Amino acid sequence: MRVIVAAVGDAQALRQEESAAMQLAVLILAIVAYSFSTLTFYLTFVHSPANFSSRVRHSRATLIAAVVLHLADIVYRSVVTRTCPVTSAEFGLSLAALVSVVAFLVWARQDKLLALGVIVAPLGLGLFVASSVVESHEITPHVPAWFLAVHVTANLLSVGLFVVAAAGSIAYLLQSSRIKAKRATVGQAPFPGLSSLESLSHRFLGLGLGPMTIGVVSGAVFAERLTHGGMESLRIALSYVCWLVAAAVVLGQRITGWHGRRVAWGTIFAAVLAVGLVLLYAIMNGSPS
Amino acid sequence: MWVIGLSHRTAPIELRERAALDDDTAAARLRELVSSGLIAEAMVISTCNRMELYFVTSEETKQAVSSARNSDHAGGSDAEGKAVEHVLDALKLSAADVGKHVFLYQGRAAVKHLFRVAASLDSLVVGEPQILGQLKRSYERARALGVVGSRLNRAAMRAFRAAKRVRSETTIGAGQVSVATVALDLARQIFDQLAGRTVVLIGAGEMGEAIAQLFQQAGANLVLLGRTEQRVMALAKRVGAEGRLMSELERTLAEACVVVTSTSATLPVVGFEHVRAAMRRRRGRELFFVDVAVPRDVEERVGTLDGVYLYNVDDLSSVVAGTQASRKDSATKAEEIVEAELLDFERREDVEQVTPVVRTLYTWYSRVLHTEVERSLQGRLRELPEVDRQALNRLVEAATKKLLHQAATKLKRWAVERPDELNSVLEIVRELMLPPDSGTLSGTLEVAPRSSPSAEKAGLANEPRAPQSPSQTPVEENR
Repeated sequence: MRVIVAAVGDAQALRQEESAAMQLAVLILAIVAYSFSTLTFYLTFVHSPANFSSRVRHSRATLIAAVVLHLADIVYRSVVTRTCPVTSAEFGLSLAALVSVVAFLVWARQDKLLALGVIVAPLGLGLFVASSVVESHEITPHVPAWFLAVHVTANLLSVGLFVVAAAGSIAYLLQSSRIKAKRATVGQAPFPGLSSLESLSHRFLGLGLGPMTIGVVSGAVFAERLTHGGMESLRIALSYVCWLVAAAVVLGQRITGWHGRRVAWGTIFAAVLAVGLVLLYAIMNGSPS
Repeated sequence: MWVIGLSHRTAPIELRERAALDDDTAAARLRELVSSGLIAEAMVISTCNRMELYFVTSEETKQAVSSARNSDHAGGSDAEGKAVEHVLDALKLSAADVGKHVFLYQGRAAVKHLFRVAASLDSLVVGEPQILGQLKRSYERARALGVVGSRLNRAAMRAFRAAKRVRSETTIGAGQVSVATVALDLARQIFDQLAGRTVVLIGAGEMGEAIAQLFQQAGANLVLLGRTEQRVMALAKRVGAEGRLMSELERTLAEACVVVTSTSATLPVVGFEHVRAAMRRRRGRELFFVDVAVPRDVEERVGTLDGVYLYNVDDLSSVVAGTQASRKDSATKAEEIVEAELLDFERREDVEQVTPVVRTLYTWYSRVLHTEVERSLQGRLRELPEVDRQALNRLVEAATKKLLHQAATKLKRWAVERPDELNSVLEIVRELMLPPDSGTLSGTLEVAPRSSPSAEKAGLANEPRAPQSPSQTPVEENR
């Protein structure tokens, strides 16, 4: 009997080793795919801005491959570690990256918008790498698991969408500065027009605001049950500020018709706060806001 | 022939603004120049990129130069210098600017410049088609004023022919990037789609109209702004636009996406405060100004406003500069065509210089023979019937032509093959075949000296370049 137990134990250990090796392989492949995509997006942006959309098809294909591997990594890791992705800090970063890249790929079916890959691909890579180096913290809130899943999913979805909105705003500011400084070139603008970039940012910020509202409201429900330390209070305050900024920008655009650079800066600020919150969430030991 | 002027290659927009001439002023200056007696023919072209005056000095000036050259006296330079100074005065240009911003070419260099301008090789956007039309209109205006003679006429006609050849035999105009298309491309970098957007055109300049029409073709709604209701409405009807008065400027700016300005106003018509007020109403929505007017129509600091993108002619020039490389081959071929046309023109001009000599020879021989025949008809042949008299006169005419045919043909061939020796040959002809008192030939025997190919090359390599003072016989090709 002891021999059987030992044999089963050995087999389990072997399976775990194999799984860990497999998970590592998927992780490395995903990082390679993200890096290759980032590099080719960047090189095409610098050297062939005029034919950007036709030359970055392979970059898009690699980014799609990276997304598939990324998803495989999440599934594999959650299976190996037996962790629900939406209740773990490091998965939070990984999922935020996945949401932003998938949202971009869906939106960038229009070739001209592919240029935003030069911003989105490195952001995805950065968040994915960060998620793989952050120590795993299982979140242990005093709320039902489904409630936590809704809260985290909503927040991660909003962060992913805000990242794409910020990418549009960064491209807007770059393009706008180039034209303003009279450095524009004929037929060599890789980005779409300013109005398209602005509309893309506005759309993604608006799309992200809904889930973020759910996240903030659901967070407020169990925020009272948390022990309010300094960092936690900061995190809660930041999440409210982030929501307020995003809401102000979206409403400002819809109601009063705000346009231009200030709106772009507002969008970037909201996205930076959102990503900062997830980073804080991943780095800190504690439960979510 | 001479040309004095400044262009986008030599002068910044501020200087071109000051030198620009509207049609009425140009006409007044041309009349004034020709009435001075120093200039015989003149034509002026004033566009947003150049202001150039082509002129031919009068016979008096030429004779002063010729006499001075024969006597090795400096008076010839003085006469030409005086003519050049007079032109500079008329154009309100300073002699100190010559060589810095103002170019001055004479003879072959001047003709070549005219050919290059017509062929759009000297344009801001090489190969753009507008310049030929502008040059043709300038020529027609000068001709209507009666200040274009045979020399300018021949040069202009040849320039138009060279331009036509360049357009038909090269691809210089294909896939053309013009100021208009650059403006459209920039607008697309801001607004992406132009369909349904409002484009405002202020002023009825040719370039502005071309740009506005391009936007209209892209689906934009065109609004014309003008000072007089009747003119604006008439023009608006013609181009299928909405006409408004300038008093509605601020409201129109608040609605517009693109504003194209090309008035001939000497002061800006769109001020900083107008745009600032409009931008407040627009809540940061982008506004793109294309100012192709010289002097500029939009105040420069308008471009500092957030959300406002302002491009003037010089800004557009830097944008199109990068597109020139692709047309380099076509431009090289076009330069070859211009050179071939120039050589042919020179040959014909040399032949033209022989023509008056041949005519004088014919007149002289004919007169001598007719005098002798007349004397015989009044003497021994006085009984000759009228029919025979007429036949005799016809015989004299035919004989004169036959006698001089070979000489005329050889002189023309000489002019083509050995133009440098033409002066000496004509001098020998005068000595051998004409009486000493044939004063009618004194002005026509002189042939303008031609620069050597090496000197010409040197002059062109440094083009545009001109001497510091017009009194120093400022001849581009002599350097």
